[in-house]
Amino acid sequence: MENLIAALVSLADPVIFAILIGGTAAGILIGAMPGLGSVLAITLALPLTFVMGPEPSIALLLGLYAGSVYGGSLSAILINTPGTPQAAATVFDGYPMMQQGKGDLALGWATVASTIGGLISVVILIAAAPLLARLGLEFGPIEYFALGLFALTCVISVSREDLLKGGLACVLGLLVATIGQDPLTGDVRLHFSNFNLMAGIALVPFLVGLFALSEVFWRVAENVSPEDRPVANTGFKFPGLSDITSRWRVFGKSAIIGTWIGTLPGVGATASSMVSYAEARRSSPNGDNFGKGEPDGIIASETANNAVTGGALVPTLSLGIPGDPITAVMLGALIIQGITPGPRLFVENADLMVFIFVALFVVNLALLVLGAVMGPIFSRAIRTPEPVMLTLILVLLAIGTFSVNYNGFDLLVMLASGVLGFGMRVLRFPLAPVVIGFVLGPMIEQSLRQGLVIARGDFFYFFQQPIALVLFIVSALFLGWSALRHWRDGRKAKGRTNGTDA
Amino acid sequence: MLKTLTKTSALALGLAVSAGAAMADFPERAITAIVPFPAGGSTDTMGRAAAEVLSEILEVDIAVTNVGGGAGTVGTAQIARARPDGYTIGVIPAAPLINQPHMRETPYTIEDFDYICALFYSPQALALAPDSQFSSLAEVVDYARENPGELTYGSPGPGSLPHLAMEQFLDEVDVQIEHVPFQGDGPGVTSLMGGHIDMYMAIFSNVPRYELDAVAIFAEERVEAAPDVPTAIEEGFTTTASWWGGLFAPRGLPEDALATLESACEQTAESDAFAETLGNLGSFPRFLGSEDVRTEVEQGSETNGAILDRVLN
Repeated sequence: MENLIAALVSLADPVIFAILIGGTAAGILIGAMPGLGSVLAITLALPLTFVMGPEPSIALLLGLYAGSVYGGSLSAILINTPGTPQAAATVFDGYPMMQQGKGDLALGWATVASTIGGLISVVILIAAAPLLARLGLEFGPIEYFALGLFALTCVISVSREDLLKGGLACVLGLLVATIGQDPLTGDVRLHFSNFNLMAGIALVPFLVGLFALSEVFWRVAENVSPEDRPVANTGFKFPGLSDITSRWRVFGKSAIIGTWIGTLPGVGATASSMVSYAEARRSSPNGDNFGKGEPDGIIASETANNAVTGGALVPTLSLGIPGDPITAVMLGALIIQGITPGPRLFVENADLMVFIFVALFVVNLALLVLGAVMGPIFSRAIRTPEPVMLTLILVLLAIGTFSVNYNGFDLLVMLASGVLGFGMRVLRFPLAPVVIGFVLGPMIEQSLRQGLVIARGDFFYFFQQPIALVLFIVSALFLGWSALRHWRDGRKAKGRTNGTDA
Repeated sequence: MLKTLTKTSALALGLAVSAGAAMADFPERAITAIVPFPAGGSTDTMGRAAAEVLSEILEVDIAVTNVGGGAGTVGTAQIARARPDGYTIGVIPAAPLINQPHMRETPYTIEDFDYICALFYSPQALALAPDSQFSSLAEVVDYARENPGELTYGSPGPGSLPHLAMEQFLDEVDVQIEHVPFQGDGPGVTSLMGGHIDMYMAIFSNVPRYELDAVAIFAEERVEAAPDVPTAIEEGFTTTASWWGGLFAPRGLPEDALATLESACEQTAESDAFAETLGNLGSFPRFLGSEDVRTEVEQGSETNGAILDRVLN
């Protein structure tokens, strides 16, 4: 309690509060720029933390972290480009809503979802960090494999119009992900004797090219005049309170999934929003509308990816093991401050822990306000004349992509992925399954092969692990149920056609 | 006469200027330090700590740039390609230099660098799962000898220094323990804590950081931070292995720049602030001069090349 009051007092310090809000706003801005992501935001701030005390440093880093995760949703909805990889699943329903002229509402849903996801994860972090950290240890390679498979089933949801094309797109993503070093033996694959390919295809250039650059190409090719574009209602509109409360299940479940997956080191927010999306599609009464502009889809993705922030801090603070690359950088910053995260942190630096909890809580509330303020600015920005905007986007994409690794090859990857994405759009292939395959492929491959070493090559051993078994069954049920519905819908449609013909 | 005088003085002035340029104190502008691993990892933290101290000594800014990818080879290649003027240097751990070129075609060899200094190291340590039945390295070896292929050990990746250290040890004692590589220490250590693998080879800095149960340390002497952990040598084995790195530059550095950087590096290694930051990370400063590093890199490359040939083929 004393700690809580102390934490509130330090937060009330105008300087710290300003840093917190400023960090959040800067995070949103960076997150909204395609290519510029959370890791970059935090790395940029790292030198600043060397000269600041622990509290302002933490306030700044947390603000940037939550802000950038949220910011990715703005460009996902407005320009069909996830601003950060975490927002990839937000595109699935966010942009269709935008096309229907409900972009303002989509932004509202994303904002509310981010805030609720973040807040729930903080509460879980406070209440159950040590417990969750222990539970996370139950997840070994075999469990990761089962989790990856389950997340892969969301390909079905996002390629509902044409399952075959969706499946092929997913295989393409899986294939591209195998370029580079074999995670088990260290051999390099599909490199065509090119050194850069040996390092593999990086996520950001691939994603930025596939979604954003191909969108630019598409618009140029379409040559739409500004009047034709669906710019109606590109402001910002909060959804109604009753609308929010009636969807409490999606919020709750997605927040729990996000927090939980956040606690697993190495899985990450991108995969978590996909798992959450797959689960929401499975259980939502509006499941049929997923991929067509269904708010539940935005909620599932945005609640989960912001809930990851609290979740990722669980192992970071309680075990000293970062939950994702972003918390890894934060961990480095804490160590330089002389704070060693780990089991003893709760005892030795209890005051700081409480400060972290309170700051994260406030950051998530700030998202609600800042989102409402900054959302309309962004949506007005996209009303800029198309040639100007496309040029600007192009420059931003290039800068963002290059800034990740200062590697010119990444720009070539972006260009090639852009051409690939454009070709797929022309042939009416869905893009989302490519990303899903690309993100989940390495996780599934590595955990499967690690698991096989552990199981001494006996795949049956996988089914003797209770957690994995449950996940296998859920995936199988979901697949079976989807197949059944697909078949039934097909018959129904056929019946209808026959009816009209007769 | 006047003309000649002017000419002479112009010449003298010109000489003075060019001499001044040659003598100009290196460094006169900011230095870029490339870290070939992403932000937040061990190398990055090390690089940033070193850059801070170096920047005070050299009195210029040092910008740390992370160029990740390809197990450190992408950034290392970028350092090899950089202009050799001393304004682009690399903070590199040994693996991309002495291991990776044996695993893939890298656009650089160990000949493409000028070695400024070695700066930090951390010995390798073998940690056991929390409920392990073993209490000494000898017990692990005995069990593995009787039950070949039953035990598993983790490492942060194929071709990483811990992976090679363990294979070197397994070769020495001639037993078989299955390798389960992870994508970095985070997932690996969690898997160890959850008991999904039997043991994990890690750089010592991870032992205090994650409160791991280390059974042996592959160093000449015990480490102050963990006085109870015996060395493998005490247990009757001979393998020693460490994770180490330093400041490297593209080949062809001007002599004065190399000398200045080398001496700044030595001062960094002696600085209390640096030792303290490294101590927090469970690592230690260790200075080796330019020529000594070259020798160490050459030897390491030879030893690890032989191990990799055996393990990967």
